[in-house]
Amino acid sequence: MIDEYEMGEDDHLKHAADLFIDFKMVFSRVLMLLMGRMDD
Amino acid sequence: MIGQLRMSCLRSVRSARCAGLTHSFSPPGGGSAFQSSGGASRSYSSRFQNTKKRRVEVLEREPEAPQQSVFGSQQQQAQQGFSQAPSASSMPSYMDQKEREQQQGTQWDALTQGTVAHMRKVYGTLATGIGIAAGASLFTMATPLVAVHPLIPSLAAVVPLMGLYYTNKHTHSETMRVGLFAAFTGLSGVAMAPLLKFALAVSPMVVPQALLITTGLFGTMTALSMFAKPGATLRWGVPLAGGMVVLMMAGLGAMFVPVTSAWYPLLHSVQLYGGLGAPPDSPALRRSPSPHTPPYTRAPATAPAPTPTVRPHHGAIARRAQVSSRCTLRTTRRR
Repeated sequence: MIDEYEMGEDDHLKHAADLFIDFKMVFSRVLMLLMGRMDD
Repeated sequence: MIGQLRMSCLRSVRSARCAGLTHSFSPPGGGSAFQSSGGASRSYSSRFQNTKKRRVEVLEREPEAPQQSVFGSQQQQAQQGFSQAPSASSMPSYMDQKEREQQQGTQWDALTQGTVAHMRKVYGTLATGIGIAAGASLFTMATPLVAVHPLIPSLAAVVPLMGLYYTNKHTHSETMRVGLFAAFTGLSGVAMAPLLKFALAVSPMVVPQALLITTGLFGTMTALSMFAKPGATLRWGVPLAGGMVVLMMAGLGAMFVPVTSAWYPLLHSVQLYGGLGAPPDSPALRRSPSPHTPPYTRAPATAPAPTPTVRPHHGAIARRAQVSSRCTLRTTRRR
């Protein structure tokens, strides 16, 4: 993100969408892990 | 006067030839006008033949005079808006690449003020998107829309995402792009509603815990990338890219393997734990050293956010112009 900004890409919406995808993936995996632990 | 000197020189040469002497004649002005050796092997050389010298690169410092051109005003705006660098007398005006590689300190020290402002904007937009997704999930859980297969809103979310990726703020309005971002996050929240409802049925505390853990992971990864040395995370790029390929293959394999197969828990575990350990686009990799980022351009933390007088799209160009405004590398040729 920072490197892209320094190379001239200053679209904060695009960078926020990238981070949102990462956040959603990590969140869903953590949620599955916690649900599996609750089942045990 | 020159004619008299030439005549006197010719006379002296003629007298030397007559005397059979070997000598070299140098005019008082410096440089050998001609050399003579005894006998027939005498060669004349002009004073222009001894001028093959190396081209000298002179680093000449120019005074910071205000320029009247449009580009000059952009340079000044870039200096005011982006860097607010200290004066050229206290900092080196030209940094060699080797010096830049030997810089000490963390990547946090190399952040510019414009970069910090951009990160604030990005993380604020991310928080807004998470809020929109949470609201959409709550709305979906409270309505019969939760019965919709999550693949449908997931695929529908790709449409505004592609619209966001294939537009930019110079060709489309900011309002439309914000709407695309909101649509993407909202549809993503709708797609996560069945999972969240199931998790809330298992335990009501699972969702806040997962939210906290995810936020902590994000903060930890961002802090690690910020406090690492410049370029320290670049070596992770190839292993993480390989891990991403493995994750993609595991995800594709899990789609076609039956649940009763022995491969299913293996692929599921690889996708779950591997995806948690190596997110496809880790923030640690988002910061790579840029050769155009001098460390002295970072503004103090108390400085206000810059007003985008110059489009940040030209951030690298503006920094280059800032350096070139202080010092100009000129190649002079000896006449």
